Amino acid sequence: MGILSSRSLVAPIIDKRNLIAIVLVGIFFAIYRLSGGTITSVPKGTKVPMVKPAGQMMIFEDFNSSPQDALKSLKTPDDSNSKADLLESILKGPKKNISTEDAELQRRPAQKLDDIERSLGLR
Amino acid sequence: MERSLVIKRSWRSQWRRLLIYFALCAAAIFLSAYFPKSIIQGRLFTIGGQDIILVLPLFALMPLYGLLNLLYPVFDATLTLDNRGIETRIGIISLKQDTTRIRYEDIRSIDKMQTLVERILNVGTISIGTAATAGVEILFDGVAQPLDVINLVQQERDRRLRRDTGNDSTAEKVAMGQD
Repeated sequence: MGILSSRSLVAPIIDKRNLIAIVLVGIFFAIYRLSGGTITSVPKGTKVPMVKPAGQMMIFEDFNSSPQDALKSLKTPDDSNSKADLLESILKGPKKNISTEDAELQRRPAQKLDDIERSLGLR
Repeated sequence: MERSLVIKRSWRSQWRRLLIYFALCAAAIFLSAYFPKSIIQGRLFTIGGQDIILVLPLFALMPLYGLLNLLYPVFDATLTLDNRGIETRIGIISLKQDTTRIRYEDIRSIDKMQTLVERILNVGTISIGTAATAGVEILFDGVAQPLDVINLVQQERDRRLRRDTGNDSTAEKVAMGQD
């Protein structure tokens, strides 16, 4: 019996076992693609750029930084050593998400308070 | 029994291997993302001025092993019930194949063994012993609905034995009549 016989073509329909096997193999190829695997064709002699795995984007979300950096930013908090600061920095997320106005406010809270008091005529 | 009934190991009997496979799939995605340098690439061959490049994440080999480990037991063995008897073929996709055939009339005992999880999943191991050997002649695991299979085999064995007994008594009567 040849491989391309009619019996081979209807095998997944007549036997559920074959259908499940095909689904499992399909899952493997999906995993292969999500892990960054692929087969591409390029003009001869062209150097192929390194492919970034699709799973990296799903897991780490930060497209511009490497996954090691993404985890490192969680592991090492900015300018603090105490446990409270560590928790705060994890909850806050990466530093670049803070807007410039908020950052300035953090840097000079006392001066900002003085400005407000002056505007209200308290000083 | 006109046609043959081919029984293979069921998927649900391989629940441990399924769990391992899905765990390895998740691990492959995570580890490939965490260690991008594990993704290697190389030229396979050249066709018409085009280089065919394979990009291979090394961690994807883990679920590949899990998949082969899962497919192997399901497609490697069969238990066949036909009008001649019961036949097991173990090692269909292996280098060494072991085939055992017994007639219904020779079956001495037929038992099933199930663990707690197997009882929940309604799968089990069937063991068939014959008068020729003291031990078990056929041991086939991962059979779905094992009780139905056992009943089918026992019915066929009883039918054959009744038929043989009937034939013997008829032959005796004929022989006595002739005397």
